[in-house]
Amino acid sequence: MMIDNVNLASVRNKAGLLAAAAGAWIVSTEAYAHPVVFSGGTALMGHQMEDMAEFEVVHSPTARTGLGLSVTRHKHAHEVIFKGAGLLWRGNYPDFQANLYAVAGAGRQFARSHAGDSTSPLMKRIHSNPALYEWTLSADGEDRQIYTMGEYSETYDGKGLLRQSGKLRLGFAPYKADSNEMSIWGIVEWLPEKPDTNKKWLHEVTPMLRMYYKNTLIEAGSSLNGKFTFNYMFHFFN
Amino acid sequence: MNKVIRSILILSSMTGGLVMSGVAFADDVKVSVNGMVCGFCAQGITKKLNKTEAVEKVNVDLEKKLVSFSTLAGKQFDDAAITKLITDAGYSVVKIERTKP
Repeated sequence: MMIDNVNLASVRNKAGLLAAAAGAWIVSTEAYAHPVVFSGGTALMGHQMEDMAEFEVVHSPTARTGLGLSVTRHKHAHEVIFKGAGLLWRGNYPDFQANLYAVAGAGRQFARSHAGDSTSPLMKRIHSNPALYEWTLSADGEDRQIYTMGEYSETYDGKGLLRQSGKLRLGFAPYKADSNEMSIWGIVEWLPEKPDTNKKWLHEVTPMLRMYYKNTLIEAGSSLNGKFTFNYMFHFFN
Repeated sequence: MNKVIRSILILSSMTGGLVMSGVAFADDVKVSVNGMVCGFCAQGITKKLNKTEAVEKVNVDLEKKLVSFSTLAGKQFDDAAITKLITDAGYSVVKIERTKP
């Protein structure tokens, strides 16, 4: 059984490295773009939850490529990850738009000194395996009143799979806002996450309100477990 | 004296007229675009168009799926350039219509 687990971890590790390598290849040819960053545009984004805070900046040199940097504070570590992504497919229809993205990233994690016992297995793992690799597949589809989005992501450190996470979103706008009007959406987000140390999936379902006007978007909500969420996104053009 | 005042008024109104018509437009352009569903889409296209020196008065109408603007006289901005700019922004051009202002 132990041998099976070791083999499984090894296979997972190799799969992760292969995925990261594939992602890196995508980055080197035609990479990253945030779903809503236009070519030549830059987005500043923040994602704030009770036990996690993330800041990300993304620049898209073309409509299909982009480069980004994210800084995330988790409970036990800070993570700094350089990302690249490619728009694999885009569907433009008269009243509908759909996208498929692949994202790959590499970076480093830093143990938080005040995050508990420095001799715990997790803290030891963070200290001895600081390198991080991650890949994400993301798809979305929206018209002016319905918004859907799905995402799956895996994060690896030097030891193997560190975290799996997903995201599913369904949104509805009560009215069709035009380009010079405030747009308001009600969104329900489901976040399943499986930290490697936990061995089971954790779930967070969050109804939230999204508002955006011109180049600024904010989202705020509270999960069914009572965790507050606040997201923001700001676009500008160089 | 009245003649002088009248002449000044006529001259100043002519000058004002010249200033007002200082920007000469070549065409009013309407572009039908697929894939525009939100204000961010409109922002991207508007910013890219405003970056060119050939256009003014950019407007995006999500309801009609139209991007409209005026091209400046003496500035080259043909259909191929318009299509490339909007395609590069991530959207699909369906039709381009030009009318004289």
